[in-house]
Amino acid sequence: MLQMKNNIITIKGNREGLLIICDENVLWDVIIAEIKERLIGENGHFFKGASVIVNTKARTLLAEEVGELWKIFEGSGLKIKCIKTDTEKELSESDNDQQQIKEEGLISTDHVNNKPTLVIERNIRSGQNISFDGNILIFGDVNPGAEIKAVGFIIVMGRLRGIAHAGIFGDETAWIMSLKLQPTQLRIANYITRAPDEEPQKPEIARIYEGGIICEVVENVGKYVENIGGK
Amino acid sequence: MGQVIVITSGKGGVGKTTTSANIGTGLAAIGNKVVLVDTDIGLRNLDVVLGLENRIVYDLVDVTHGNCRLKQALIKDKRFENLCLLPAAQTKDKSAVEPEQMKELCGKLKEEFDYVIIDCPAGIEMGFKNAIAGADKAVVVTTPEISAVRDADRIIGLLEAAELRNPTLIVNRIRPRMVKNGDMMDINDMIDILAIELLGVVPEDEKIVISTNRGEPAVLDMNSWAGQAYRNIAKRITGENVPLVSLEVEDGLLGKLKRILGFNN
Repeated sequence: MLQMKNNIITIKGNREGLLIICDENVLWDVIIAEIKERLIGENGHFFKGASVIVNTKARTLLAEEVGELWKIFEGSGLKIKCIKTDTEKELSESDNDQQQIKEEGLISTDHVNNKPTLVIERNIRSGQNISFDGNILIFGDVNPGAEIKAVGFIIVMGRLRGIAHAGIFGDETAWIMSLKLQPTQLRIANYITRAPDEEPQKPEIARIYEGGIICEVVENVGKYVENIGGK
Repeated sequence: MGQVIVITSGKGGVGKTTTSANIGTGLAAIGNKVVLVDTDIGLRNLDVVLGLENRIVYDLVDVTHGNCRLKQALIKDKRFENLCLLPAAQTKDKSAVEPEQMKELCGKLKEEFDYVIIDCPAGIEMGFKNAIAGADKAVVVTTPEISAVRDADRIIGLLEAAELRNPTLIVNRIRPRMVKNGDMMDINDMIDILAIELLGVVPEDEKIVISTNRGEPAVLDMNSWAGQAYRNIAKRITGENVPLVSLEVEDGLLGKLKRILGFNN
């Protein structure tokens, strides 16, 4: 198939930095090669020092792929701000959508921890696994049978009914927040618990306190999400 | 150019085949050219439900392997001229067909028919992949049980991954009285989890058992609740705006009246 070279990745600049949009129909290896060539090779010095938001469109990255992307940028003087996927239907309406992505993609985690945040805007269904070497922010529900694993914290702006594991590498300061915290199981670092039986009426946050996982009502969800934005 | 609609569920026994037979027959009854394709190779049922078992000569595997022409394998329904069945093979298994072959087959069928209804086997393996390969739209069937809803959720995820976006939902075998008493999941609970558009609700109806055993789809039985629900679903598929059959159960004369009115709308 004939593929216009510059369709593989689209690079856009705005005042916050660079937005790189990856075509979801191209093999991941090809995208990596293209990023290397355009951002890091001889042409790359132009971008040095910029912070980058990568949008993988409908593609969900595996942990190794995220690692690979990370390494490339780390070695090149560019700073990754966040990696984003979107599985919205109107992928083809490029101009409008990209405008939106620019607006929405400005989420970074600098002020909460040093990890990047994966932002997902869809429901996570039974059998789907999301794991990320950083934090995870989901705008949607996590259904029973789904599993979310993050090295950092997890925020679900919707119902959390599946399994969530924050701090998978043992970070006991990690936490999990959801507008409706009704998980099958909660795991933080090496602690595991079941959710309380009664239905929560308010957003709750789960964290480790004196050797166990506790859940508290969150009055101001915005505070947590704002922090991610670093504003 | 017609549309290819796959009827799927993940879990077995929720009524995919019954739904396929009734939707197909319902669409044909209102004048569409319809072909039903049974992709449950090795466990074929759709022919039995339609009462066409004794007419099968060639099947889906024969067509994809080139042992016969497509036309030779299509069986005309006994009730409707404009309804055909492409039966599954009973002696092979799911690996006898490849997704690419299904895509090609669906492409050919939709040139000739208004609707190509594909009856998907249970499970998420080869049979499922074959069934969805050529589909334009998907209908997910579930029953008001947590296990069936869980599997439906999984299936919706897989459909989305396969680029079949916005599937619609049929809730089958609901018992209004049990829902009212809080003994059965209600429709809102299911929509809440699955977050997809509702295409129809089919009440539990003993007449389905009778019609299935006789090989006569309930959609043609004007006195059957379930038949009425399937007639409405068929109309909705063609784009007509039909309100849901009222499932309210109330005791006393007023309740009865409501039910009758709901039934007739």
